[in-house]
Amino acid sequence: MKKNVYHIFLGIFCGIIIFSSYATIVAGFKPENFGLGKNTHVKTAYQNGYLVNAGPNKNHIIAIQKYFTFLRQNNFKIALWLGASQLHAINHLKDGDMLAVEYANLSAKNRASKLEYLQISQGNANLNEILCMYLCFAQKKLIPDWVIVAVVYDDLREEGINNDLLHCIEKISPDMLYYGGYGIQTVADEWEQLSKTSMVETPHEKIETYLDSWLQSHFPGYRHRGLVRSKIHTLFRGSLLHSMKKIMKVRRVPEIRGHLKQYNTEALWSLVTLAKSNGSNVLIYKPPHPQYPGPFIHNRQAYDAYFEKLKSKINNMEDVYYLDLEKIVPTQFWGLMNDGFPDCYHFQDTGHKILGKQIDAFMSEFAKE
Amino acid sequence: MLFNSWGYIFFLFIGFSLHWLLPHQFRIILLSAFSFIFYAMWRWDFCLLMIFSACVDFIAARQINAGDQIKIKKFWLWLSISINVGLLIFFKYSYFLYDNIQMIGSLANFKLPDLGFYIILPLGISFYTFQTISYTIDVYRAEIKPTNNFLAFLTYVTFWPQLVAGPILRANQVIPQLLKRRKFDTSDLGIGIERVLIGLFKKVVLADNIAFWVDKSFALDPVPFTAFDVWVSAILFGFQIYFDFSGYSDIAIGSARILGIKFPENFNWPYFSTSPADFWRRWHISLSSWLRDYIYIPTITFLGSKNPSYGAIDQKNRLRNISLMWVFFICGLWHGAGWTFIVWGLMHGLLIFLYRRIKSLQLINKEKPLISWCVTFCFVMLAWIPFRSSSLAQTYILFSKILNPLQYTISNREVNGYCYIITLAVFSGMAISYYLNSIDNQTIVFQKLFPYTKILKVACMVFAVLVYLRPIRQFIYFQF
Repeated sequence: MKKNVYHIFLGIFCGIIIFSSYATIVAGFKPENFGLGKNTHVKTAYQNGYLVNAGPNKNHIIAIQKYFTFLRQNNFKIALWLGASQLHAINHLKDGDMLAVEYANLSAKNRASKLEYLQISQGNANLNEILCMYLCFAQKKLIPDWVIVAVVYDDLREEGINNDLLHCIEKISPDMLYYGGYGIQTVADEWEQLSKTSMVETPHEKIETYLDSWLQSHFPGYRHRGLVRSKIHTLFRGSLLHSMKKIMKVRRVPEIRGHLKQYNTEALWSLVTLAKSNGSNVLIYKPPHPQYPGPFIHNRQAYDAYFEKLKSKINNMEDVYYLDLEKIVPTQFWGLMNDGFPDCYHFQDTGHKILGKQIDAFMSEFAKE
Repeated sequence: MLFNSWGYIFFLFIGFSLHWLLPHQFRIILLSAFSFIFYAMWRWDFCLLMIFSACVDFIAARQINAGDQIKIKKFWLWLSISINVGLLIFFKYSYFLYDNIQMIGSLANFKLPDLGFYIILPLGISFYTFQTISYTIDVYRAEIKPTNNFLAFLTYVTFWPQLVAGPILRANQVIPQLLKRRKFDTSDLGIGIERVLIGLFKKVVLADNIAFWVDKSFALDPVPFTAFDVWVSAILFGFQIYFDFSGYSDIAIGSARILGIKFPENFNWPYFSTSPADFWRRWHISLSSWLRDYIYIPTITFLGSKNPSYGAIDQKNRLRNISLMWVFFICGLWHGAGWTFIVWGLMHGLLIFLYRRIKSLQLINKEKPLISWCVTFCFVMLAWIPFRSSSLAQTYILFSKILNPLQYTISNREVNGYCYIITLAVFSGMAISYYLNSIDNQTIVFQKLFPYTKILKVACMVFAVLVYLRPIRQFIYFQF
């Protein structure tokens, strides 16, 4: 029996060593690049030493909020640009490449405008998550002059809200619930659900936070736990996806069910309502899409019908604008997916340049500066 | 405090160290104090409720024992049961009762006034209430002598490893062990640590990761589901709840063992049962035996005593069946204040009833356990549908898919493909573990080839637990 105990302690020791070693190995792993496609990478942008683009990360969002406050104190107009991975990923990333948000800021600077663009984006962000991104600012009374929303058709099939984003927002106020409509109710429900399953505001939470930070500074590799988790999931999902696509050989047209379209579009209208009630203008755009010959990645009719409906509704609204940017980025500036199929969501630096300039061109015309 | 946290590992380490450093007479004080600290990590004010509940039963049990008339004994017994059940009803079922009265009232255009207050469900109330009730009943039945040591009794009620989600222990299983002079034993330490590790692995690696897919599936609109989607969602939830709850029980058993206290097993490979009755002998054993001893058998006895023709076989079977449905109604209601839980309970009651009928007709071939297992597995998994559904309407839609042969189509799959793969992978893993566990360890060839299997197993579990340990999700049974 004593031998049994030694085996267990030896096993624990080995497990810790394996974990520490593996965590150190994967320290440089970038999970955000997974799923972006061949040669497509995430880029982080800074302006005046401040972060201007962030993912669903509490610390990053806090950093952007600080910059927001700084800009306000210096009488800048602010456009909050929300969207999915197209905004933060660059195909064939090279030194000196910039994101659309950086090009938009450059363009605004060149025309001596006191308008600054700040961007929050998340891979496959659905419109409920985009609503949460807006709430991160609105709940802190950081009200932008403009809210720019990229409506990615493919992401309308995504549901649920990333917990990291939910952690960035507070409980939805009764006022917001009253004015915000169905979309805000979904966010409120998800937030309630999350707060029920965690240890919010208990002594245990404080102890856990303390122990976690202690382990981060004293246990080699512990701070990379998140990366280890992502690496394992990437290996698991990556190998599965690869083998499934090999078996199927053909690309399936992603089906976007009606109820999910509605679920996400309601969130968009909630965002519009709240932004307008806070005195912001809203720009909703149809994002760039490559014009490859051959079949369109989605059901073309449904795709067009969705945006037509969106456009006609927006045209009847005050202070809300619609922009069709589908064809602005030429095909040669788009990338490829890992399976060799064309990447319909991410483009190269030039694509970002075109998009950034186009958005700022619109703002120069419509923004009351 | 959640077991699946660094806080708990630290807490257990301190508790373990102090427990074995202190002399015997102080250990019970330490265990009691640590149990209250454990509970106060959630809310300290509800500790008072536990103390009140313990006081009621301690006094009642002593009065029952001291009483020389059956009338007095009965009075104290019913006082104790009424207070305990009353507290449980108030904290757990007020909203459920209110909503149902409201619903019935609305049919007659009658509207109840608002409750006017907000009730918080005290963590573990269903577990410690059943535990204290069993103590008073056991004393009333003269199966045990009441303890004179209030601290020992309080520690039995509040002992942290089993406080919030069981196992539901009997006083004679714990109090003598608490009072006994325990000696430190390295084998207990080894077994305890291994059990805690297994429990953490089940919870943070398996249950929490499966939960992500289960939540996604059950959040979808069920209307476009195929029958296969429903099956996969139900089976996946079955795995989630098993790993979640048996993981909790493993940590509870392991934590107690480290302190030199042995808890009975709460699970025994329930998904390899060969009949519905067998399932309940293997799933949440402490609850099923509690229900048998304190509800099922007393109900049969009570109904029998009210019925002069009790002796007739048919009548006896009828009483058994009534008791069966009653006990499973209670079982469902105990799990949650909602009709979906009651449906789940009654489904199990019905399954056992049907099983008994089929068995009595000698339609079951005991030499073909694979068929019996397959049928039991399918029914048990299907029964999880109401348990996990958010409403009876969702349950109805999901069941209508299962019962419609036209819904058995492989195209138009709605549930994510990963769910299918994970279900297959988890089931294969469980089947292999069950097989390895069911044969004698010494005869396993690979164990002879690799004498250090245990080191490898523990190392893998430690690695996985280090990667996934986060108190992101409480145990499912905490809400009960």
